Amino acid sequence: MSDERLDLPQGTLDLLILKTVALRSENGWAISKRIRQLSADALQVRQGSLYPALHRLEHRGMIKARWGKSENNRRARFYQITAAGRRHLDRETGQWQRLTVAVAQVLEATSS
Amino acid sequence: MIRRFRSWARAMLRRDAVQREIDEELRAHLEREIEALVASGLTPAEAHRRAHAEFGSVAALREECREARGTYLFESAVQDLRYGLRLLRRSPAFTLTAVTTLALTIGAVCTVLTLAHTLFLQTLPVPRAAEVVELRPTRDQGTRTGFVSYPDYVHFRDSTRAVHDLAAVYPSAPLFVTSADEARAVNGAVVSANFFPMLELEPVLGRFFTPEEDTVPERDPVVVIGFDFWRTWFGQDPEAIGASLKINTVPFTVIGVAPPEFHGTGTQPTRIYMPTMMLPVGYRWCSVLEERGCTILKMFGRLADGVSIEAASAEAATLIPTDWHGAGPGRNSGALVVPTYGTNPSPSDRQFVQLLALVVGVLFLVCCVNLAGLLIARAKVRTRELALRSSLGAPRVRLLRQLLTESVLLACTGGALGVAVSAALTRLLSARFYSTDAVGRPLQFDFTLTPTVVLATACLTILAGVIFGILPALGSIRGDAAAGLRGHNRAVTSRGGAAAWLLGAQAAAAVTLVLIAALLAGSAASMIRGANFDPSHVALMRLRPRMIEYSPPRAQAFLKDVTARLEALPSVESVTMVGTGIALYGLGNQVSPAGSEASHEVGYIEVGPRYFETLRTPLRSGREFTPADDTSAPLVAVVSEALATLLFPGSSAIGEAVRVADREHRIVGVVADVPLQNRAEPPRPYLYVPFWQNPDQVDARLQIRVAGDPAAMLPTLARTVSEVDANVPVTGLVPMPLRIAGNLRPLRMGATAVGYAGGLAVLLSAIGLYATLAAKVAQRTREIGVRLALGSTSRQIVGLIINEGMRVIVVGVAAGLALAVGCARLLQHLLYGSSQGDLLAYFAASLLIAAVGLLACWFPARWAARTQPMQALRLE
Repeated sequence: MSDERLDLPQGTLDLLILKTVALRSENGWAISKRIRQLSADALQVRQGSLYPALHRLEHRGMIKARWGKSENNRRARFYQITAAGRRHLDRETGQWQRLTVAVAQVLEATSS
Repeated sequence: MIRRFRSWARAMLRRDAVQREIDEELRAHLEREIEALVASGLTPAEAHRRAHAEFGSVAALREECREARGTYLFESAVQDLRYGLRLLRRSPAFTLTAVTTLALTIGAVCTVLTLAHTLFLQTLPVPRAAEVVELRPTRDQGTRTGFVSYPDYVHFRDSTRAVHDLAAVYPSAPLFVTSADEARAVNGAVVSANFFPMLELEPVLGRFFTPEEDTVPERDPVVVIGFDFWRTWFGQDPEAIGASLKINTVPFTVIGVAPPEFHGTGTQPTRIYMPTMMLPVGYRWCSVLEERGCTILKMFGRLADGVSIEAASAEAATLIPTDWHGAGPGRNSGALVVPTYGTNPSPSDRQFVQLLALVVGVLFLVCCVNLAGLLIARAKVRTRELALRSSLGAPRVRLLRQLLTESVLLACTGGALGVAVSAALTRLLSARFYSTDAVGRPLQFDFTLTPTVVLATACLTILAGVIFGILPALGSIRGDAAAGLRGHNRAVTSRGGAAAWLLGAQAAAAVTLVLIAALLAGSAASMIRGANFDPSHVALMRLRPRMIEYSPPRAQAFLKDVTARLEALPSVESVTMVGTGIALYGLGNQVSPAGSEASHEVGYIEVGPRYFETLRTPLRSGREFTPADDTSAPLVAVVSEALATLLFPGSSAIGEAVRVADREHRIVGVVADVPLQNRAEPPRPYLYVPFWQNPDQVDARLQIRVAGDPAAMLPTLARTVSEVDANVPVTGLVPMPLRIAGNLRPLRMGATAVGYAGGLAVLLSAIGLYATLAAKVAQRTREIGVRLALGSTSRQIVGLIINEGMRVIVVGVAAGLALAVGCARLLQHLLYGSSQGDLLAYFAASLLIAAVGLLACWFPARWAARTQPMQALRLE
C-alpha cells in the first residue's frame, strides 16, 4: 500500500500543514490524519516528521499553539494559523499553482 | 521578529518546560494512534509496534523539534559542556593525566612565547614606542654593531631628516655613589639633554635636563635619578630634589626622578642619568667629547612622520662621516636604522630561544598525538556509549561536536593551568638567569604575561584540543552503530606498527633528553664544586681606585691596608688578590724557558700571597708567593703541572727560569692543574707571577676565604673597605660559586630547559605507551579471554602485555642511548669535568625510562589479567 503513496517534495509539508490548520485549529495527530484524508491517502507523511515542521512553523510565527482538550477529552496541543501564516500560505499556494501548471505544460509538450 | 525572539527566549529561559511540552506532545500523539489502531482491531502489542514504526525515533524527533526552535546550538553546547564535565569528573585518572600533560606542555609553550616576546618584541615603556628607533653604526661590513663618539653623534643629529630628536646615550657608565654613611656602585647612563623629551617621558618629581645644561663640558653637575634609586637611596623623600650626590668623587645635584616603569634603554637598569657634557666623570678611558676614535655612544630618535625604517636606514647610510669610508676592521664603516623592539639579545640567546621553540614545538605535537592515543584508548568504553546514542537518533554532527567539546574542554583546563605553570616557570627562569649578570649586577627583564602571549597560548590550546580531539572523534563516529554496539572498534585497530615506531622514537628521545640534561647539569655542578680549587666559602670583591684616578702608590697603600684589615676580621681565614683578568682564568700570555726561543701560549695570572691557600689549589712542590715577593725582591713565578711538564719534561721545574714579557722569572713552586677546560680541550698550562712585583698595580680583585657563609659576610667586607677609604668604588661583591654559576649561565639554562623537556618527554612517552597498550588490551579482550579459559594464569597475561610494551621501550632506550652518546660527543665543548660519572648517568637515565615504561604497562596488564573469560567471549 505504501508503495503507491507519493513522497513529499522538499518544503511542501509546511504548505500542507498551513492549509490544514487554516481550515480549523487542530492537534498534531488530527493534522496528520487530515492530510492523509484530504489527499485521499495518496500522500505519505511519516507521522513523526510532522512535529519538527510544526515547531519550525511556530518558531517562525506562521502558526501559534495552545493546550486544549482533544475530541477524546485528552490534553493536546492545538495549532492555529496566524495572519502571517495566512499571507505565507496565499503566496506559496499561488506559486505552487503556477509551478504545477508550468511543469504540466512542459511535460505534455514533450510527450506529444 | 519579536515573536521569534520571544519563542527563542521562552525556549531559552524555560528549557526544561519546553522539553517537557515536546515530550508530552509526542507521547500524546503516540497514545492516540495506538488507541485508533486498537479500535481498528489490532492487539495492543501489535498496535504499539505499528504506531512506533510509523512515528519514527522519538529521541531523534525531540532533538529536531528543539533544533527547529533555534535554541539548539547554544543549548546543545551547554549540554555538551555539562556532559563533558561530568565525564571528566567520572574518570579522574584519565583527566588528571591528560590535564597534567597539557598543563606542562602548554606551560612550556607559553614560557617560550613569553621569553621570545620579551627578548624580541617588547617595546620601551614610552608613548608611541614603535616610532623610537636606534641609528646604529656598523663595523666589518655590517657584521658587528658599533658605537659612536660625540662628534660623530653631533654630525648625525644635525644631518638626519628621517629621524628627529636624535639623542645620544652611553648606557653602562660604572658610577660609584657615596654619601656620609653609604657607598654604592650603580649603573648609570650618560644621555643628551633631548633624551627624555624624545621619549616623551614626564618626571615623577622635579625636571629633566635643559639644553643649556648640556652645552659646556663639565660645567653642570646635575643628575636625574631612576625611580628605583630614589626609593632605595632616598626612601622616596621629595627632598631628594636638590640633594647632593658624590659620584666618582664629583658632587652632583639631583634635579629630577624618572618614572617607575622606565629603566633605561638596555637590560642593565639605569639608576642615574647625567648629561653628555659630564661624560668624563662616567668614562675615564678616553675623551669621548673630542676624540672621534673614542666611540662609546648609542643613538636613539623618533622616526619622522611617514618615514619607514627602510627609508631611514637608506638615509643613514648616506650620512656616514667621511673618515668612516674605507675604515679598517673593528672601525665604524656603515650605519642603519633598527627598531627598538626586544632587548637586543646576543646571537647565543637567539639560538637558545630558537632551539627551545623547536623542542617545545615537537613536544607540543607529540603531546597532541599521545593525547589522541589516550582518547582512542578510552574509546574502548566510549564506542558503545556513542553507538547507543547514535542508534537512539543523535545526528553524527552532534556526536562529533560533543566529542570535540570534550577535548577542547580538556585542552582549555590544561591551557589555563599551563599559563599558571608558565608564570611559575618564567619566575624561575627570571630569578635564576635573568635577574643578575655574571658579576652579580642587576638586570632588567620584564617577563610579565602580555595579552598577546596569552592570546597566542589560548589559540594554540584550542588548536591542541581540536587536533587531539578530531582523530578519535572521527574514528569513533565512523564505526557504524551496530558494530560499535557489539564491541568492535575500527579506530582502535587502525593503530598498528606506526604506533610502535612512534613510541620507540619517543622513548629514545626521552632517554636522550634526560641524559643530555644530566650531563649539562653535572658539568655545571662539577665546575661550581671545583676540582683542584674550592670556591665554597670564598667571597669576591673588586676594588677600583682607577675610577677615581688614584696613583699606583696611593692605590697600593690602600690595597695593603684593606688586606691587613680584612685578614684581621675574626671570621676571615685568608685574603688574596688577582691583578690581571679574573681569579682562576686570568689572561693569555707568551712564555718561553730561559735561553730558548720556543714560546708557548699559556694562562697568565698575577696573584697575591696566599692565593693557592685561599683557593685550595694543592701545591705539588716548592712554595707559593709571600708578601716578601715584592718589587725589591728578584722576580719569581709559580707554574702549573701542565706547564712544568711542557717546559721541563722529566725534570723538576723548581729553580729554572722562564721568560715572560721580556723579563726572567725564577720558578719557586709547582701547583696542581686547575681543570677549567671543556672536554674538547686539553688542560691549559698556567704561569702565576706575584701581584706585588708589578709596580703599576692600581685595581685589584680580592678573594677572601671566610669561615661561614660568604654571602652573609659581604656587608661586613664592604664596610671594612669603606672604613679605609669610602671613596674607592667597590664592585662585584659576590660569593665565588655564584660568580662561577654566572659564567656558566648558558650551560645552566641549557640544563634547565633540556631537563624540563626531558621530564615532559618521559611523561609523554609513558602516556603514549599506556594508551597504546590499553587500546591493545581492549582489542584483544576476546583473545585474552580464550587464553584465560584455556588455563593461562593472570600472571602469564600480565607478562604477555608487559612484554609487548617493554619490547618497544627497550628498543627505544637502546636507540636513545646510542643517540645520547652521539649527542654527548657533539656537545663535548659544553661539557666540563671528567667523564667518569657519565656511565652512572647513562645507567640511571635508562633505568628511569624503563621504570616509567613498566609503570605505564602495569595498568593495562592488570586490566587484561582481570578479564572474565566468559564475559570476554560473550562480547562476540
